[in-house]
Amino acid sequence: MYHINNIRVYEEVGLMKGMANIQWQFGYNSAYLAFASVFSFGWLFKNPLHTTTGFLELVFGWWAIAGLLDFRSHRHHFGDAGRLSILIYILNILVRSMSPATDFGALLFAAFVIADWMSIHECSNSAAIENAADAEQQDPVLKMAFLSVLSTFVLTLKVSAALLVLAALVPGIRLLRKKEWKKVLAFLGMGIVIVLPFLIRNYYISGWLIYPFTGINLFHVDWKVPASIAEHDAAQIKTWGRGLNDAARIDTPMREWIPVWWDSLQYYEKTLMKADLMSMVILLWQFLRAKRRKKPLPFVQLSMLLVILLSMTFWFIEASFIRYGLVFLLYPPAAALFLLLDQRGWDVSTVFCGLLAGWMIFFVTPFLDNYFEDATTFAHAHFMENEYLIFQKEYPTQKTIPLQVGKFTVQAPDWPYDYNNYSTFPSTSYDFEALMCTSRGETLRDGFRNVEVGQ
Amino acid sequence: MLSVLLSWLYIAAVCLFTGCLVWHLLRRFFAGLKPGVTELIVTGAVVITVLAEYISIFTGIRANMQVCCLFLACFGAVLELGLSRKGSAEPGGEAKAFLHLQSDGLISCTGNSFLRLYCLSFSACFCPFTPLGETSMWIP
Repeated sequence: MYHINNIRVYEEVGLMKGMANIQWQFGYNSAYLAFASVFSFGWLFKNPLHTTTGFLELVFGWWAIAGLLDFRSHRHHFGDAGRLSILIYILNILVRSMSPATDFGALLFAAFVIADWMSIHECSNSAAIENAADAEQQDPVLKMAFLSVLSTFVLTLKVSAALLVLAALVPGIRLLRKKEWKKVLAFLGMGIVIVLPFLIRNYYISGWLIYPFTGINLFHVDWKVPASIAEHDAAQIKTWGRGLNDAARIDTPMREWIPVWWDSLQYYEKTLMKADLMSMVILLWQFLRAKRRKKPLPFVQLSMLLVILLSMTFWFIEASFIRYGLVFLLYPPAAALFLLLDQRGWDVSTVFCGLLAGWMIFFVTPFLDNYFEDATTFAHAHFMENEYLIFQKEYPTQKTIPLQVGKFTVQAPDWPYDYNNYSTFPSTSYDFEALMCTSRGETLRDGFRNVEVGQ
Repeated sequence: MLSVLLSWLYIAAVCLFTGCLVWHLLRRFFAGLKPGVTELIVTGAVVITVLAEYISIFTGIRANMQVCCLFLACFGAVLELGLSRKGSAEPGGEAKAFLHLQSDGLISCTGNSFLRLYCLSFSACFCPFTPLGETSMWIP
């Protein structure tokens, strides 16, 4: 829970210059924590609320279920696959709904972008389905453009989902072809308005445009996190994701780290990966089959499928923790399954894909079973606990030790803990990171700098 | 549990009506768009988050942010209420006025009443000085 204290920083002072120096992870600067801090009410209540992840689960889960109830009226089921993956993702994080972890919010928004995009042109024109037909009347290019704007928001929530922004090329090119300059400028403007505060905060928090990416080195300020630390942090993310657990092994070749990464996965995660590979085969097969029959798959959906594949590749190379890319991993099996259900007329290839899909479902089952069991066990154990009927369970608090960092006392968790607290401010998860710093001025907003920089 | 439910209700109301306000403005430039309830809530959540990020550059996110949220949400609620009143004046117009809020199929007939009740209670709670009779002047 290294994020918690960032919510407290948002509430107390907004930001501290160079705060990424006292805890490097502050540099990631997820916008999700801004959302969480607005509805935390730490300034009002003794125990701050942490309900935003649950709220997003409720909203997107509701949307997904409502869409799936209209399943029969859909001309194609790419959108339904997205809705199903939203529901599976919610099942996956259900027992951690109270956590303001940044990847939950980011991936829920990413899943919504994918599912809503995939649902374009899905409704039949049946007059009986007023609401669906109403949605169908929306201009698909404008809808894609708005979802592209939302994907820039996802980028500010979690940079590992950044490639979703590539989807913006589809509506962008279409609007440019139609020479609708005003609309292009309006959407660009919206994207800039969304990304700008993220970049400005990055500048103040870490001195980098995007931390820990050191490829863009624009600023030379005294609170800047040293490049060596940023590179080390980036290497840590990669190597921990790959199961190597040692930043020094960043240059390990792919053929060597893939077996290590595979061994580090849980059984049900391995089966999910196998299901993903099978779904790729089915999707490719169906794509070629549709092309041969001169009934190609819809371009809008194909473009998003391509973005999902690119996002999966980016996730695999950059930060291959299953939980960081789960939404991208859940979509292909669901899409392959629904694509097969759409098949009219059976031939040898359909039967082959059907068998493969059956095998794929068999592989997804342990993943679903694991989290379903988690969720039901949790519900059985805690549902209607008298202790929490009125108030929410408060944030956990670790024992801390005070560290003198320049003019300020920074709290750090006492060994063996490495969690940050909400209740202590300012504080860090790692004492050695804070001990490399000193204060920059008289107030906390003046922040911290690394002792080796800006002397 | 109760605090969580109340918190969700508050977040939903603030995000929904902030989303309504933003889409009122957007509809001037992008005719033919009909966002559903979920899309309105998502829009509101995005706007509030981005606003909080901007504010955090200068100061902490405390009661100041709630004032901003409530102002935006009340403005959105009043606009929705105005739209509903305008719609009511026409035969069968009330349903038309709220049709754009049910395009994703989440809110049916009962949903309309629920949303209207929401608008009214929200405006009544947080806009005691708003001249409700003059809201139509704000309708785009």
